[in-house]
Parts: sequence; C-alpha cells; structure tokens
Amino acid sequence: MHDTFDKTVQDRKETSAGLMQYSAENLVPFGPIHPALKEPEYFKLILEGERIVDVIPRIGYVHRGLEKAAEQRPWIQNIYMFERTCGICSFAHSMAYVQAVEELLLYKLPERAKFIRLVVAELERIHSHLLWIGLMGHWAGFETLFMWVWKDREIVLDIVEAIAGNRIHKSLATIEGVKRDIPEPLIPGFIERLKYITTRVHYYRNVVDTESTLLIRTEGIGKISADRLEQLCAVGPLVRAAGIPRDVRRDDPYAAYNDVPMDLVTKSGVDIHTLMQQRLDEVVVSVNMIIYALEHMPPGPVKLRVPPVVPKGENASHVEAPRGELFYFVKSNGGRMPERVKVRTPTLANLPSALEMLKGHTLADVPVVLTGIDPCFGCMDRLSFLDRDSQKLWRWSGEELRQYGIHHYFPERKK
Amino acid sequence: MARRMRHTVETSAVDLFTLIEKKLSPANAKRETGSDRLLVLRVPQDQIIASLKLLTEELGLKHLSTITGLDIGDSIELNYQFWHSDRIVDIKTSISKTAPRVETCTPVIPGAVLYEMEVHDMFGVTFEGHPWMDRKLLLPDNYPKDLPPPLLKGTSSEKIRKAVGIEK
Amino acid sequence: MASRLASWSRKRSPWVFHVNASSCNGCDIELVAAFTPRYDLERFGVVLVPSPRHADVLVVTGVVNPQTKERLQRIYEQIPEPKHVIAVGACALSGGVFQGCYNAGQGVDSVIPVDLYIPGCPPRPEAIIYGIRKLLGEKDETHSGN
Repeated sequence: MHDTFDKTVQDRKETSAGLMQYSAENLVPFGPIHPALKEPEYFKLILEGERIVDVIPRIGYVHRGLEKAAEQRPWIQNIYMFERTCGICSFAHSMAYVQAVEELLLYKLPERAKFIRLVVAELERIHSHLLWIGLMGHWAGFETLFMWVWKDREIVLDIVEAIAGNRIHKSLATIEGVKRDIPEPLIPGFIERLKYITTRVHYYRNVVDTESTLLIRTEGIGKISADRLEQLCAVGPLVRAAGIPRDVRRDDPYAAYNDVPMDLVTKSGVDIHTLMQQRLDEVVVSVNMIIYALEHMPPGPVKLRVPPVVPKGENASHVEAPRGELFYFVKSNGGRMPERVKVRTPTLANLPSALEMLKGHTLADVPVVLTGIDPCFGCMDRLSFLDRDSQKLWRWSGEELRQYGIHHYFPERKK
Repeated sequence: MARRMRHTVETSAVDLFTLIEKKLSPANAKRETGSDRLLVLRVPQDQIIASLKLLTEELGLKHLSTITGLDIGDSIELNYQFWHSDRIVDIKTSISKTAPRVETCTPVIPGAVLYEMEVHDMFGVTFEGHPWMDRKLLLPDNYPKDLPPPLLKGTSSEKIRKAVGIEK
Repeated sequence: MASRLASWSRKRSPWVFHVNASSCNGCDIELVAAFTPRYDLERFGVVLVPSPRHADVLVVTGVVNPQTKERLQRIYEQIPEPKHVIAVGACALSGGVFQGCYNAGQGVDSVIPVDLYIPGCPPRPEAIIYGIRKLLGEKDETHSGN
C-alpha cells in the first residue's frame, strides 16, 4: 500500500485521474473512519509524512433546518429565508426558488422582470468572483491583491445597492417578478462603473499571470481531471476550467439568458491558477451581459399580482449561481405553504472534488486548494489534522493554517 | 403538472424522453406526470440501481444533480434528479418507511456520496454499501438516536429543538 | 498605573477574534469588508488576530447551532480577561429569520454573555465600525462613521 502511495504521490502533479482509489474497492473519495478523530465539527485531514492522504468532511456547522421550516411558512416568506442560505449567492437562491414555483403557476413572467433578474444575477456573480480573487490573494499571502480587489468590489456593491436597497441580501426576486424596477436615469452611471471594473479586471488578470508570489502557490496546484470531475458530478467554474462546457445559463436558459448573448468561458485543465483565470474572464463576460441587458431592457411591468396559493404539482429548477449549478425542487399540495422544498448548493456538489484535489498536497497548499473551489468561510475555520505515522493530532484555525502556508513558501517573511 | 415557459420545445427533447422511457422499460419504469422539460419515471426499488446504470452508462446522463427524499405518507420516496442539456430527468422509487434500506448507487455514480449521506441524515434511509452510514453529514452530533429523522412529517421542529438543547 | 496603561493600549488597539457560528457568511463578508480600504477599520487600531488567546474582543456572527455552540464556548473561555463580546447581525441577536428552525439557536447571548449588539441583515461595514467604536467608548467626530 505504501509503495502504491509513493508512486501515486509522484504522479500527483502530472495526472490525478484514478488517484483516489484509496479505498480500492470503490470509487468514493473518502477512506475509512479513523477512531482517533473525535472532534465532531472539524474537517479532518489525514497526513502521511508531508502529504495529505485523506480528508473527512463534516459540514453540520451551518445546518439550520431550512427545508423543514419551509414547510411551515407561506410561499412568499420562504423567499426571504432561502436567500439567507448564503450571503454571497443570495439572489441565486431566491431566483431558483421563485422560478421553481412560477412554473407551477399559469402566468407569464414579465419580460422586464427577466432582464432585471439577469442584471442582478450577473452583478452577484461579479461580486462573488471578485470576493474570491481577493480571498485567494489573502490565503496565498498576497495581501495587496486582497485589499485592492475588495476596494474595487465595493463599486459593484454600490450598483447593487442602488438597484435593490441592500448590498448583500437583495430581497429582489418575488413570485412572478421582481420587487423594484431599475430607475432609467441611473443606468448610464452603472455602465460607466462597469466599464471601469473591466479595466481593473484586465489589470488583475495580468497580475495573476505574472506575479511570482501567486504563480508559485497556484500553478500546478490542485489539479483534477475532467473525467474525475464528471464522475463526482461537479459544477460551475470548476468544470468549465477543466474544459467541460457546462453552464445552466447556456444549456437550460432562464430569466433573460435566451435574449442576451453570452460567451462561454472554458479553459483546458484545472489547477488553481486556471481557476483564477476562469473566474476573472467570467467577470468580463458578466459585465458585457449586464451592459447589453441594460441597453436593451424591454418596457413593461416588473411584477404580477398572484394569489398566495400554488396549484398542486412538483417542479425542479436550477440556476447558475457564481459557484455552479444551484438546484431547487419544490412540491405543492395546493396550499399556502410548500409540501417540500429541497436545496442542493453548488458547494455540496463540488465538495467531493475539492477533497480529491487536496490529496497528495502538503499542508502548506491546503488553504489555496480549499479556497480554489470557492467554499463557504466556515469550511476553513475548522480543521484538524492527524499524522498517521506518529498518531499526533492537532487543531488549527484557518488563520494558523494560512500563516503556516505563507511561511512555508516565503520563509523570509517569518518574523 | 408543471409548465415550463422558457422557450419552445424541440422535438429532439421529446424523443430523448421517449428514448429514456424505452430504455428503462425492462426495469418496469412507469412515466408519471411531468412536463415537456421534466421527465418523471418511477421504478420498483429492486430496479433502481439497474435503472441508474442504464441511464448513466448507456444513455450518457452522467450528471446527477441531487437525490431528493420525500415523505409521502406510507412510504419514503427517493428521487434521483439528473440534469441533461435543457431537461431534468427524475428517477423515483418508493421505499418502506419502517425499514428504509436501499442499495447505494455510489459505485455507479461516485458523485452521489454526499447526497446519500444527506438523505440518510434527513430521512433515516440506510444506503447499503455506502462507507459512511454510521456518520453524520449535517445533523448535530447530539441528535438523539431515538428521535425520528427531521424531515419525516411526523417529527416536529419543537421536539428537535428541545432534544438538541436549543430550548429547555 | 500598569493596568491603566494596559487599558489605554487595549482601547487604542483592540485585538479582535472573529467566529462564524453558523452564519450565512453575509455578516462575515461585511465584517471583513470593514477592514478593506474604503472603510478601513485598522485606522482605529482594530486588528484581526489568529488566535483567541491574543484577543480582547470576540466578534460572533450566526445563529449558533448545536454543532457550533461548544466551539464558541471553548473559544470564549480561551480569551483572557478583560474581554468583550460583540454579536453581529440579526441571527446573532435572536436567530434572525431562522427563528423556530429545528437546528437554529437563539442567538449568541443564549450561549455566552454579550456586551454589544450590532443589528442588521447584514449590518453595513459602517454600522460595524460604529458599533466597535461605541464599545470602546470613543466618540464619533462625524455621523457617517467614516
């Protein structure tokens, strides 16, 4: 077993396909449970020597019980609860939910509402990708990138606030429309700001490709094959960076995505560096789509009045959230409250792939690789480690791990 | 019945649904009401793995979006939901509420590993052959063993809150 | 004299440890944004520290579900006296929109004592800055909090 492992560790950087037959009998990414690991709430990383051989996820720390609560709340009230599933892709959640419900109703969604939904969804994508690029800078030890990107990101949040009234939880989507219209006089200002964002993104794209601090920590790190991603049902920029042209906006268009031209961004192989390129290029595409939508917005109402009762039936709907396919399933028994609402977030879909990407890497690469799939903050706060040979067990906060990584790569920074 | 109003249906999509239905007919698949964009097929429990194999290996529908559990009163419904191009395909099966066990589909679809754990947590379904059935993904560690799983209709939120120590 | 100096220096440069206790991340990203150039919480001497043992102030976001409750208590105990706790966001105050959900706590003060509450869903970075400065007893020169 040890020999196979050493060989596979060498192969790690060249190919990761077939690497994780760690439990040789089946293809699932996790090994057997280790009795030494008692702390419940931590992501556990098992090390052999320097290298990670296994990762055991535990994600109950954000579980609040939304799906059950949704069965006891009216349809409209659930919008405000589900958008708070995640602060970063909150509009995607509300949009996927209302879309699933709308298809059970026999109304036609107003055209203007479709365009406004597209604009806000793409603004959210930009804010999320910029947030992520900044975080990558932070975790990789390039603090300046983090500060500069988040400063520019504020401009996007200004636009969101002007449209929705809030920066994070926009509460804009409602059943059969959006709650607010975009005031026409503000549109030229939005376009100007978005064009500025594009110039900044071009600058950051250059930084990502030339800055040695970043390259040394991201190139060749966190590789995974396209085949393995498909097997593990991964979604979002992760699969597009691997070359798989899958995007809900293009494959199964919703809102105004049928009416607004979109360039699909793909790369030819996943590592953290390509993921950075992928997301930055997606920001540029999003800006173009928003400008097009703002310039071609059809007139008309932005919402319809609908009764609070949804006819009997069930439906599934998905949207392309910033992190990937966000899937909602709703079932109605004809009443004022849902019978069932099921949410599958893109982070959950990508988690097996993320853990697979970690294997074979050293501890110093963990923050960069984990951040690479764009997970929730919480995942990084709680990490425990087991050294299989010495049976040594220890816990680090995310910050301690980050510092470890920086000092490992840049020992001159050690104080 | 759900109506999708995004864009016009292409006949090739209708053919896809017919093709799937035909392919899965040896597994006793029965079509239920969906829409022009949502295919719903129900198979008996003992045919679920065979059906998933046919779908993924012979028809190329590899992307499983999720596995949705549903308490439909006298049984638990498992809904394996696939996304293919601009269609969604639901393969449903019903399993006993008193002895909720079904074979794991992870050898066929490794990506289902966490979805099965979620259904296990929420509905108490045991996926035989899944490596982690004695482990929780989402529920707190102090969720009592004798309390029914949360998403069964009979389990009340108040009871859970008291049992896990949120309320006295 | 030494304790007056210590207390002056703590006010001048409060070291903050942030805990996400079952938050949707909305409050967390606004808290982190407060440290970025437009808002710049660091000009008030506020610094985020990597370990609770170095902290004066604990900032908590989220509803505190049963899974994070123990960790929050553990972290609170590790912070040396004198310590302050700030609850940020509607969830940390009372459970927010998740009140009644089977796995959502009732807010931070049902687990540890809280000194300051910053409401909002999420509160703006300006509100967070205002709150932290209020805790430190500093007077605002301007109303905008910038």
